[in-house]
Amino acid sequence: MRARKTGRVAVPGVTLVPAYETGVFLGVNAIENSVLLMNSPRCPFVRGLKVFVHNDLGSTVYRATGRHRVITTEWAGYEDVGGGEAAFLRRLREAAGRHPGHWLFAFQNISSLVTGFDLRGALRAGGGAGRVVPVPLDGPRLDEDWLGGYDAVLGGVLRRVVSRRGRPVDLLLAGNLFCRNEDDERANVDELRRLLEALGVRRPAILLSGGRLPVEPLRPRATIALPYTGARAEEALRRAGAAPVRVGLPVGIEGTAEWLRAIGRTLGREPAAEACIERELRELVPAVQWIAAEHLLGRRAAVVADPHLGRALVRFLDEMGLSVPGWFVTGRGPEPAGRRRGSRRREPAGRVFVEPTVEQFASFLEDDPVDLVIGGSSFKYLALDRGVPYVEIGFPSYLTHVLHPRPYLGFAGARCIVESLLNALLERDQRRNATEP
Amino acid sequence: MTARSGSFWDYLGRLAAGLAAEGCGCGAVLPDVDGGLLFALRDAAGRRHVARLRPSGGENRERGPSFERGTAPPAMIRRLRRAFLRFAARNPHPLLDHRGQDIGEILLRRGGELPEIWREELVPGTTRWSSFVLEELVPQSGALYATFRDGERRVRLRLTDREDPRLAGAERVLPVGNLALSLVEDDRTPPVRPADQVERFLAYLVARTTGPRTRIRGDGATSPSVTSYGGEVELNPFLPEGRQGASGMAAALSSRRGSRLKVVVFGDASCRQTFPPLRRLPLFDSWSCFPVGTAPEPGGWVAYDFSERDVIGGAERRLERLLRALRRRDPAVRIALVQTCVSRLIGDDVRGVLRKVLDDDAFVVLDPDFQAKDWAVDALVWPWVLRAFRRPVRQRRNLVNLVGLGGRGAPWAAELAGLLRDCGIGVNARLFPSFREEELERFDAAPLTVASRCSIVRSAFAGVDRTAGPSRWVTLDPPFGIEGTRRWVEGVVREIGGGPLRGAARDRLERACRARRRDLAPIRAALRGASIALVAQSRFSAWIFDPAEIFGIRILDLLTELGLEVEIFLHRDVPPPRELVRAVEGRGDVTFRTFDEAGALREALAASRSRLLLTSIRRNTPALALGKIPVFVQTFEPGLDGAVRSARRLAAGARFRFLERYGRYMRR
Repeated sequence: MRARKTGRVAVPGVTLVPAYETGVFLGVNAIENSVLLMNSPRCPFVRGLKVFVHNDLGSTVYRATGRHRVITTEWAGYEDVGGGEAAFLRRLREAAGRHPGHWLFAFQNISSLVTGFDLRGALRAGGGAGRVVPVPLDGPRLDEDWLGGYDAVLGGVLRRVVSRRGRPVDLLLAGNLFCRNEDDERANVDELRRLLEALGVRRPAILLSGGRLPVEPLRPRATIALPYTGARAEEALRRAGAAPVRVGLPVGIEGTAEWLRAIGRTLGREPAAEACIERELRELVPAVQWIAAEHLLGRRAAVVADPHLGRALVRFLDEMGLSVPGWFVTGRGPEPAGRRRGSRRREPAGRVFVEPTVEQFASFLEDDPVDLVIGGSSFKYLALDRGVPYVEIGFPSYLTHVLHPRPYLGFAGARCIVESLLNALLERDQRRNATEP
Repeated sequence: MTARSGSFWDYLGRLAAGLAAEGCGCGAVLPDVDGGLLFALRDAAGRRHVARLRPSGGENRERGPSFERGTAPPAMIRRLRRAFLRFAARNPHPLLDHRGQDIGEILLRRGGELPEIWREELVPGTTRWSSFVLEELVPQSGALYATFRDGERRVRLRLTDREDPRLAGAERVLPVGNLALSLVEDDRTPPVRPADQVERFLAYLVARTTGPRTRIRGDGATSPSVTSYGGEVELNPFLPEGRQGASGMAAALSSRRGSRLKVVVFGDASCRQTFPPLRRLPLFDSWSCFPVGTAPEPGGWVAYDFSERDVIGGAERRLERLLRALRRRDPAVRIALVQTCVSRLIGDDVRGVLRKVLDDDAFVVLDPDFQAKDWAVDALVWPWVLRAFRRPVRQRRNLVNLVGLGGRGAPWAAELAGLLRDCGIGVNARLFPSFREEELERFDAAPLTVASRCSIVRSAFAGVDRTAGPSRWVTLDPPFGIEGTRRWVEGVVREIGGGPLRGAARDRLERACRARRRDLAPIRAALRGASIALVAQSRFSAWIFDPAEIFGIRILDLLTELGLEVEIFLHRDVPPPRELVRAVEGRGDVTFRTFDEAGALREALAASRSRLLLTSIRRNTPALALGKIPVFVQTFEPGLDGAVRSARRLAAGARFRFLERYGRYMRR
């Protein structure tokens, strides 16, 4: 918020971009054998329920037995804020006793940070550290959001896992945003593996990818970084001598083909990449050709997604004949960085709202009607109130759960996205035709 | 004679009688809040006097008790002093002594033991003040909560250090040396007579058992957690999750309709995001009984997310500019400012800034304290909401305000309004957990306000001066079940001044009840022989039997009406909660089972015939593993239709065979 020369200030609305801490929760949720220990009151646990319960039916972080994998020191009063070290050490010992061999991510809330709690020192001083894999997490950072928090967990993992003396693997694919333990994200991992195997890569290591994460050093022959590999994760890779090649997200037809070609180039397997693309397109295009031409062409969609998924989705929607008059960026990516909340700019694809507010989204729907919205569910209630279909993918997905393999990455993901778009539009047309004969 | 063999109230009665017998003219003796004693005297001429025994500490103990005589003649006080000393020597009482003078610090923590000095004098179920019995004594971090009950009347007091931040929002605070008593809940109708003044007794007791340097401190950091590794959870996996202090408040503020109220959240984005940003996404706490919105409406919230720079340099000036901008937009703006922890830690004087820009009644500072599990924030926001929006309006007959039954969008709202309309009563405003500004503005048009009898509502409105407005407040059991709904409608009619329900209105209500009983009959038949398990282990799970704790639902009565039998599992070492004892008197449809450790509870539950289990834990794998279908409080809906819907859900649960068929495949 910045005062203008007139002395007037803009009144900020409320943005629903998840905070840094949420990204930490996502990272922990993606590693089944992990514990998050926080020096904080209990509220992070309550916040975490959005990730562990509402967003993820398959999460094992929250347990009905009370043995949750998020443990807070549970300050019960302001007087406890500065004095959490004893409780932290006790919780650390308990966690080490109960979760031997687990990754233990140590984190704190902003109040703890402000009071100067020495997280790393406490972790070093903690007994039982030998029984767990301790990973101190920086932050929370107020100038970063959930993508920064996820990167902090990923970076912590990579520092431990990637080593010059580790077990050799063909390929490390870093920076997969594993949002939940449901069959959209699992299927994403399967699809990435399938595509990589088509390039001749045997048993690629994908981080993060759900399930248990062995504490086993790896020495990748090649390292590919998906866009969610942030500065911390990249630094960890470089330090371990595994400087990554950056690629985009394999979303949509063209996006996935580009992704395959980029990896093929890196591995020196371009012909295999081209053969794979050809084979896949022969399968996929006939399945979606009439849908694109007859149902999607000319429709208008809004995108609600982080900078990486959002950019890929805008491109895919354009590829399928939809126009995108608005992209609501739910996170700070490399390009929108530095832009202040609520700012917007013109792009060929339409307007881009950085750290959008509910007010902006609501007025956008009024001013610039769209046929549907696709992306994370933060604004879904506003769209549903206005009768606009909403296809949920990515994080968060509070109101759509996936019980059978339904990726949104790769060629298989493109097919699923088209299916979702089609069904949403058909349903909307039914409703509209019923009310507007 | 000791405190344990009789109440202090009785003792003081005997003391007054003894002094009167010795010619002191003493009519009554009352404790004073600073540890002194007040003597109501009458001299030979019939003139009234009040003498006061000073709260002498250790420093003048040798000189004996010292009296302030007020208007009483000196000879009368000398006689009183001698008689008092004789009585006290013959009838010693621990609360006439001064103990704990040298206590420097008292550590109170959640789930921890009380200091010995209070364990002796404050015994739940035994300690009394007049007809109020100490029902519960719960230490939290840095606070001691004492609940006194007299029948339906309940008073909840909180003892803290005088510097405790929780006192910031408290409307009634009684200082006791370095400590302070504050009123958390209060069902008494003012004016409160001395016999009902439990705070007077408690303040006296604290003053007599602590010293001038005594402070209370908390140590939440060392308290066991109920929700992570607490022993309670180890033993009983069916405990409820704790409540996050401010979640209900946020739900209320985000679900209101209107435009004058702006919720300004001042602090870090993580803290603000404690609340689910989606409409009707249930919160994991007691609020989830109400279908409240939990999503910010466009234009209603102003989020001031701190940057690193704000944390270092403070944000008061920018807050002031923001507030001025809001006031420029709407001079009648009302601000609910949510001050998050970090703002408080860095010492932003948000109250000072607010006072600079806005009138006192135009803002409230909501401080979602870490430990505020006792509706502290609610108790602050709701009285303010009423104050900030209600306007003087002409009163209209036969209108009623409903408090604690949800908003207009609740599934039962239309039915309840219809039942009242059939009796000639209109609903003027609905309040709690959501509200509409325009309804609050006309709140005083209704001569009667009916609040639900449950702790969540009681606590939220504890700070409302019910005698201040023209609308008379009454508390009724909420309308759960067919009988409960009938009683509720009759109660509203009676309270609004119509006397007992009669004539066509009564016939209409009876017809509606009969129709629903007919709907209920086949469901009851389907439920015949089915039962539900209720597990009670300790104070954590006694909530099931306390109507006040579960939205006013008299659970055993309701389950019987809906056709279910009940199996109650009690821990062998824990006496049955008082609410339970009261509720099961003379009932044949309730079976008791006891257990003594977690394994035994699991075995008992596994062997029980109950197919259903009342719980508040979501994703209840332990319950499913035992073949039990979790039933949540939200299953039970108010109203006649609500009763039928509730019964249908229970019947569906009772005939659900999924667990039997596929139980062995389930993930434990």
